[in-house]
Parts: sequence; structure tokens; C-alpha cells
Amino acid sequence: LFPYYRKNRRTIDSNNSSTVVTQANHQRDGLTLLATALLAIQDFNNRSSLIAPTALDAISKQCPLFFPPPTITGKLLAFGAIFRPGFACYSILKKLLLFLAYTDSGHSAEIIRAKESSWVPTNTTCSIIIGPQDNLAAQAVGQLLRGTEMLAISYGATADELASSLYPNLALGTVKWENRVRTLFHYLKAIRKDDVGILLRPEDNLDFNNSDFVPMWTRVSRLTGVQINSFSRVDNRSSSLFKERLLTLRDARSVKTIVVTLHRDDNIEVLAEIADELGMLTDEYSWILMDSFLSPRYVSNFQVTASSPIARLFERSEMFQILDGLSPYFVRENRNDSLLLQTVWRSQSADLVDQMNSLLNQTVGFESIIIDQQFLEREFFDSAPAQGASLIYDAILKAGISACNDEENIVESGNLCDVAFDGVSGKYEFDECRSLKSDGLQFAVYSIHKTIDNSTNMVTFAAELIHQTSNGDWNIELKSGNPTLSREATIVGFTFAGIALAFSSFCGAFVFYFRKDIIVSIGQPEFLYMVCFGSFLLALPIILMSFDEGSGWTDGMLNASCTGQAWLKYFGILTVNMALFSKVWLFGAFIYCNYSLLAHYPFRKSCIVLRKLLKSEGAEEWKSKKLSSLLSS
Amino acid sequence: VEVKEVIKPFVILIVLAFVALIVWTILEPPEWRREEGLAGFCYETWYYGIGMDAAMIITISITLWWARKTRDLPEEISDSGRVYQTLVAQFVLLMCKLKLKQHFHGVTV
Repeated sequence: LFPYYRKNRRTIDSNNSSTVVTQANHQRDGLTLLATALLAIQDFNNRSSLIAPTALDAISKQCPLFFPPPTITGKLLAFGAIFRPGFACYSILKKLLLFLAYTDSGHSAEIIRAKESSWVPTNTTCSIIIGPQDNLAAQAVGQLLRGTEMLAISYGATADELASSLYPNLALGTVKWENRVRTLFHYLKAIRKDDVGILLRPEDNLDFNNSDFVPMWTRVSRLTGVQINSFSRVDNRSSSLFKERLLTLRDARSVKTIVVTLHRDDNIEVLAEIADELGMLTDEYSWILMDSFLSPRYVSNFQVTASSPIARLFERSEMFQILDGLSPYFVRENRNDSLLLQTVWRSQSADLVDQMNSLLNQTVGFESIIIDQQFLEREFFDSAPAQGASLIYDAILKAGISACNDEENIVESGNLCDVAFDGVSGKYEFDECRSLKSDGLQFAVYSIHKTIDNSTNMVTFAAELIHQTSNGDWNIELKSGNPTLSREATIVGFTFAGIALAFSSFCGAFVFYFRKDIIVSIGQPEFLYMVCFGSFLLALPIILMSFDEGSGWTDGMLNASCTGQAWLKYFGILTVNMALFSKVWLFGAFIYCNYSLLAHYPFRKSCIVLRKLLKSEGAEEWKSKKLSSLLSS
Repeated sequence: VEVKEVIKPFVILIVLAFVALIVWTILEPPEWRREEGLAGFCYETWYYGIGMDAAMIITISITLWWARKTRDLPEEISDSGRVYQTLVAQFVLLMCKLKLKQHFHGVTV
């Protein structure tokens, strides 16, 4: 149960990069995740607001919902016998919430066996699944849930997978890459970098198709208004490719700030050597190293000579880190408000261990995992839980709060999306129920300081925090994903519309005032009014266009506005054009009918109309006074 | 001056436009759309937009035709020349708009 889901992956955030993560470490990490989950259940049941102070405010006092204690669930845990990866379905009580603990050893044969045993969770037994970060697990869950309406909060599925029918109703509890990139660009903008080049090193497990990855960066740069001068992308680890890409960045002379996204397996020394070879480790360049898995402590692993490339790279580097629930910072550093690491986690003891043991003992199929009782009790709560613990905690609270807020106490995708609170991992709010929102995404920036040991002439490094956001104290406005019209745009719209409206009104009034004047009356005021009226209509849509969601308009209002715009603009332009046509036609016909041009006139019949017209008072007067002389001239 | 005789085409066209707009509004009204990360816009089903543009082209064409026939009349008594110039400009702009519509399918330009 809960083995460390990143098993067999060496991470660069380990205190010593050469440490082989032992099985015992895996087991401990996995068990801390389970313990966190149990802690979340316990806190929810007690309505305890120690860990996430604002989270439970949302629950009404009358909420009858509780997660059943794990000890009652012994029988249900026999599900573990049906297929090996452990399910724990707390569904004895009337209110059904399910918590899924899943290993990363989901063998397809066992899943098929589970399906054959017709154990497919439906809404009548369970209502939500919360799974740790593991694609294999997410896939297995997806297969089991095909055809059901089961909701799930996952940490591992990619955006593509989420979009497929394989995953019925999944929400991603981690931050999308796009949102990470957006946050990076907001930082770049805040520090006024306009000479940025990006060296991309996509991870294998991105929530993007490979082909979408670079366009995503371009799109986000356009949205945030940060000029990216050059892109380079390194798809494999060959150093020649690294060199070629860095060369591209160097050749783009406008690039002076280089953002490098590091893969967790990358060897930063190789990058430093190549950069040095290309002469890019001078004061001319500054570097930003970005990796969610990069702990600030990573730099302390290096002990090198002062003139080595890596030392000179670090001297010119900042480390940029998104602080989501999976970042090492959250779980390894003493973050002030992360009570999970502080008093609450450390004060846990035998009770929680007992709960875990009862869970583990009752779960059939896990005999092979030997839990060292002493290990659990003695050291377990001394150090922080594994990465992702905060996300699991928040996901469980979210499930509980969503169900509590619902009248029928069920978790649905609707209320799952609506619930937002400040959780342990930060602001826990889903973006269209797919991913954590990027607004208020927290990040930290470190500069790297060196210390020279005079006796050995070696340098060591330490990262020093120079910027950090926490909810609310970042004074740069973080744009939401959808750009809305600026205030200036609205003002410009109103100005143009105002000019056009005023001018068409003025012209209308002018024509009315001088309607008796001979020149104006020749111009046929009726049609002139229509031209003015049409122009007036044409100007009105500009006002409607000057509003969008940013002005507080709802979708209904905006739809109505779109319809209104279509009516106004087409009526306006048709009125103007037809008025002009009628006017030109009338006058032309008048000339053709009366001055020996009749043979050339295509609408001879309408000359009758014109004769009538000639009989009118104004026309006679005009004809006698002006026309003959004008025509002869 | 009796304008009601020459105003017939005007009235007919306006009534047609009215009917077309009613049908449009009832069946597939333009709607506000927004794709993640992009500016919002009014989405129009293309054939309605094109239909209304066709009506515009017709009105511009017949006016152009007749304004051209009478464009040489002295400016003091007839503004046909000006109407002609203006409409040529409008026609060019309309063509640009249609070309843009082809590029940004469905987007109101």
C-alpha cells in the first residue's frame, strides 16, 4: 500500500545526488502519504481547522458527512484481494466517500480480473477516487471506471489523458505546465526582462503533446506580454544537441537572459561546460534555472574549484521554483504556514500509526510488505511527509467539502469545481475542473551564493531566497487566462462611438435646420436624414463592443450584445447604402427624364414619378433659377 | 417631393434584411465565444454573415452603377461623384473584410 510512487527514479533533490533511494525510504515515503490521507480524514471528521485554517469554514455546521473510520472498513478492504493494488473503499455509512490508495504495480491482468469479478465501482457504492501521482495508476483507475460516472482527483494523468474517454471525470490536482510557464513569465515581466531566450528541456511526462509544447510557450509569452527572442528545445540528452541549441541562443544577439528548464535527470555540469565553451558564462548573460523538482539544497551538493564552469554558472544564475504541492520546498523546508510539517504532523503518534497498521493488516494481498513497527513509531513523524502529501490532504478535504456543500451530500463534478479554499498545498481551486488554477500560484526565486574554503581552494554553494510569493503579497497583477478589454480600450471605444454619434446627430440637425435651403433641398433631406440615421446605428455597436467579462458582463448579456451588434451594424449599413442609392437614382432620373437624355435612361417608366416631382414648388423654383445655367455651363 | 416611388427598393431590401435578421436571431444567434487565453469575440454562423454581406455588396453595386452613370453632373447640383468615390472605398474595405473573414473563420472582423 502506498509505496513511493516515484520508485526507481533518482531525483536531483536528494540531499546527496548519488544517494540510491532505498526500499525502506520508499516504504516510509509511501506510508507518510497514507498517514497524511488518514490525517486529512481525521481532521475533516473533527472539523479541525489546525492545518488548513480557512478550508473548513465552508462546511455548514449541519453537515452530516463523515468519513468512516478505517477500522470499520475491514471487510471492504477485502477488495484488495480482488486485485492487488489496494483499494480502500469507505462506504459502510450512508454517506459514501471513497478513498483510493493505489500502488504503482497495477498489472493489467489483475485489472481484467477485477472487471471480470464485476467489481466496478458505481455511484451507489463510492463517489470519488483520490489517487496519487502515477500514470500507471491513473490508467488503471481509468480502465476500471470506464462507463461509470465516477469522479476522481488524480495527480498523474496528463491533459491528453484527461481529455480522453478513458478517464471519465478526472480532475488534476497538480499544476499544469502552462500555468507554471505563465507564472514564470509574470516573474520575468516583473523584473523587466525583455531579452529572454528559452532553452527547453521537456520532461517525458508532460501534460502536453510534444507538438504543443513550444506553441504553448509562445502563446503564454504573447498573453503575458513578455518578448521571447529565441526558443531552443533539447529533446534528448546528447551534449552535441545541447551545444547546438545554446549556440542558437548565443547567435540571437538580443538574448541576454537565458531560461533553462531542467529535466530532473539532466546533468547540469554538462550544460555549464558547454556554456563555458561557447563563452556564455560572462557577465553579459544571466541565467534562470527552472525546475519544479530542483530543491534549493541541490546546489549544496557541489564542491568545485572557483574557476570551474559550474561555479561560474551558479554565480550568474537564479533558481526559479513553482511552489506547488509537489515541489520539494513544500515538504523539505520549514514553510511557515505548513502546519503539516510543524506542530500537527510532529505531534502525531501512536493513534495514527495504529490506524495505519489496522488498514495495512486488514488489506489482503499486502502480506509481502513488512512494516517495521519500531520504525513507524519511533521515527515516522520526525521528518516531513513525502512529496505530494499536501495535495493528498487537500484533495480529501475538497471531496469532503464538495459533498457537504451539496444538498444531497454527493460529490459531483459541478460542486467539485466550485469548491475553493486555501489548502496546505496553496490555493486549491480547479480551473474548469481540470487543473489547479494558476492565479496566485506561488513561486520562489533563489540566488546562489558561494563560499570559498581557503585551505582547499574549493567553493561550496548555498541558495538564498530573494523573492517569494505567498497568497496575496505579490504586487504584480497576475492576469487570468483570458485577456479582457482594458479600461483604455473601453475609453477608446466610447470616444470613437461618441464622435460618430455626435457627428451623425449634428449632420441630421444641420439638414433639418437648412432643409428649406435650395442646396439642401436639392440634396433631398429625406435621404440625408436616413444616411445620418444609418450612421448613427452603425456607431452604436462600438459601444457594445467595448464591454466584455472584464466589465462584469455575463455570458447572457454578451450573447445579447452580439445579436444587437449584428442588427445594428447591418441595419445601419443597409440604411445608409440604400438611402444613397435612392438619392442618386432619384436625382439622376430627374436629369435623364427632362433633358433629352430619356433614350439613355434605363427606367423610363419612373419618369412619370419625376414629372410629379417637377411640379412640386421647390423644384420649379430651383429649375427656373439655377438648373438651365448650370447645365449649359 | 414624392420619394415614396423611388424608395421602393429601399423598403423591400430593409424588409428582407429584417426577415433575415429575425431568422438569424431565432435559429442561430451570434454568440459570445472565448477560447482559453484568447480575446473574446462574437461568433457568427458563417452563412448568415456572408448573406448579410451579400446584401451589402448588392446595395453598394447598384448604387455604384447609378452613381457612376451620373458622376459627371456638376457638383453643385449632384453629389453623385462623391457618392461614387465613397462607395468605391467602402467596396474595397468590404472586400478586405471578407478576405479577413476567410482567414479568421467565424470571427467578426
